[in-house]
Amino acid sequence: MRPARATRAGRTGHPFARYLIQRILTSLLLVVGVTLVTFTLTNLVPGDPVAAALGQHAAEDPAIVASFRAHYGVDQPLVVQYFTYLGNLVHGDLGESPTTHHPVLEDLQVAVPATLEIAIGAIVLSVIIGVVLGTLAAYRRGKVTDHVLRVVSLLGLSVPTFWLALVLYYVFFFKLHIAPGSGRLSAIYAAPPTVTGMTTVDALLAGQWDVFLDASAHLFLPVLVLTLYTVGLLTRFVRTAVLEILDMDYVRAARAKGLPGRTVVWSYVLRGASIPVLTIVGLAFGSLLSGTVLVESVFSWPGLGSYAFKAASNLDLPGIMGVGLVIGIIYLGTNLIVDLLYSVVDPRVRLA
Amino acid sequence: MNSLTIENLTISVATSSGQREIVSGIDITLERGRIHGLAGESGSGKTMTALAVLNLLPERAQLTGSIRLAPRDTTLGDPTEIVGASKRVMGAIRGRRIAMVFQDPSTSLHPQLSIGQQLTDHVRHHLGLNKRDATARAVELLTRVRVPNPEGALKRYPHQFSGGQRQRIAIAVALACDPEVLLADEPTTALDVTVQAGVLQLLRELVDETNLTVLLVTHDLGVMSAVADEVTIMKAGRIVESGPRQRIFTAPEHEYTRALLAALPGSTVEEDADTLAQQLAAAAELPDDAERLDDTDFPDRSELPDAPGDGTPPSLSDADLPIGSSVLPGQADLPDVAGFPSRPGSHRAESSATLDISDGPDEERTHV
Repeated sequence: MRPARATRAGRTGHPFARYLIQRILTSLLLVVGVTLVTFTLTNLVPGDPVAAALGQHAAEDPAIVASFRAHYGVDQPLVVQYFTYLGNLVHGDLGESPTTHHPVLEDLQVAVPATLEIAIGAIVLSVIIGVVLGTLAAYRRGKVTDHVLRVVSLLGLSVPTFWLALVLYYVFFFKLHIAPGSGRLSAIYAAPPTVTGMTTVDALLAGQWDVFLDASAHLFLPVLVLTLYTVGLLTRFVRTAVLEILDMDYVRAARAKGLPGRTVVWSYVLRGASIPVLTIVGLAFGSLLSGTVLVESVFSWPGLGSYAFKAASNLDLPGIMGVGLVIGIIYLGTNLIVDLLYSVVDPRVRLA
Repeated sequence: MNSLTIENLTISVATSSGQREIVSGIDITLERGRIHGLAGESGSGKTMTALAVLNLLPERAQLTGSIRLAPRDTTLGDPTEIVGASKRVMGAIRGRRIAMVFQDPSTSLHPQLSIGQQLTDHVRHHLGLNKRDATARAVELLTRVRVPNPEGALKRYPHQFSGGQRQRIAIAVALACDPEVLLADEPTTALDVTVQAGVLQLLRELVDETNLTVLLVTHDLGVMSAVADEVTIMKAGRIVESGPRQRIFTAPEHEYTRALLAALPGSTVEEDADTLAQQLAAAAELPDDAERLDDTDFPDRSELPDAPGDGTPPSLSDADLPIGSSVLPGQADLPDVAGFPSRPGSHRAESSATLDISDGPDEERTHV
């Protein structure tokens, strides 16, 4: 039996590697699907990008319009445009933004790390707080703590993000002067050399502690706003997942073994709840990204949300398609990571 | 010598219609080195009794009476009272002095934790062993319960074992800290009939070799007749009859015991399901239980499978071991009695709805 298994493994590779390759290939196919959808939707928009980009006066001059169309390739039939777009994509060319006059790729290289910085900060903080609060609520089911946490998480879920962002900005910046103003860094600091595009990480990599502290202070409020919503969401889901696991035989068996309460919680209960919790964390990360549009505009954060807003209001089609593509890729990447984490936490997935 | 003494134990839970007694004033004495069988239909309170011994009942359940655990050696002092014991006292008893084996090893072992971790975490906690010593002990335990390739098994996960092996592992987990008392809650119900005998044989050997005290909870009188030394029959939270196995099975005093025995296949008493149901209802002391027995629907024995269903061929060690001889005529081989019809599911549904703790899906498991 053993040699037979060895030859099979030799031919097709480790089952996990095979699974990984399969998932990555599927994701690539989905990316192509995303380009089709973003391209189609963007070109269905009623409105003339030429008029939007050139202004009324220039748009009345046929020569200017024709050269604009030729420059941005919009004089070709849609199908040709799509394949041109795809072909350029393969070379990393997402087109040129008529608004910023930069290649879209360059714009995104600035915007994506800025957004990821607050989104990752918020999801990490939310998972830590949400798991602790959700577990606490499940253990104190029906008691005062549970009811208080229910109200807190409902508040987090129902308070509008942009409103909260404005209120916090007003209170912490204008009134209390605790938080720094908008943007990613105070004016006295120069941005650290770009490695990841995330100011805090780059500052750390460059060993500039003062810049790191200033960047972290700027991160604080936007991350807080996004965290409150996500914590509300996660607390509810973790509570439900933990309650389900608390009913399992293996939790009773762990207690019957005389294990201390914290071992039962960490090794047995949370391990058991990890799969539903991972699922919801993946989804929460997606909704975080959509939440950043409003938060970014309040805090003048030069991220994906601000860029999308600008591109959409100017009918900047390459910009809009670029944002759509990037968000699609981030979603797919999140899904892929969540799927891989399933196999890390659950041997039944890993060894199946 | 007594190991565990249960006196006048009453368990009640708050329901919407007031306080309801699940177990009413029962007395059970477990003697050291003996297997004490606690039999009764689903919902009769036998699992609740076992959980009460470990103080693991849900918070809503109220306990009165006394459960005393005698010290290993009488010179070590007085028995420990379990009813109302503090968390600290229970922490030192659970898993260390009283251990439990649950009905279904596919749910009582954590699917995401390796066998090695589940076999060593409480050993390290209770006995203060380091990782290497605990692992060595785990290998020893797996060898003792006859799990093949113990070193390799430690790195594997529950789903990679057959049902019988999983239950052997669960028994090894329970025995890991060398407890004085083992509570076995339907330890063979979820297993294939061919595997049941091997697990029971193992229990018997452990008791004979280590002076372990076992409370064996089961609804299966066939299992009881095969391994128990003493037998207590429960019905609707009360003890109907108690005594040595020999006497209970040959000269039952109570009408209910007689009805249960008559329901065993191979019994000399010929009765169809209807008369049996009436008899059981007549023997019942609580009227609502009598009602519930009305829709008795015993499974057709011809439909019962005679081969294991989980696709793994039964190992010789599981299937071919001789089992403690039965005292009933026609009861000599255990597989023959595994189809002992269990009570209708309506009992369980009601008890689990009010309690959150059920005996587990006895009915379905037996006939899979």
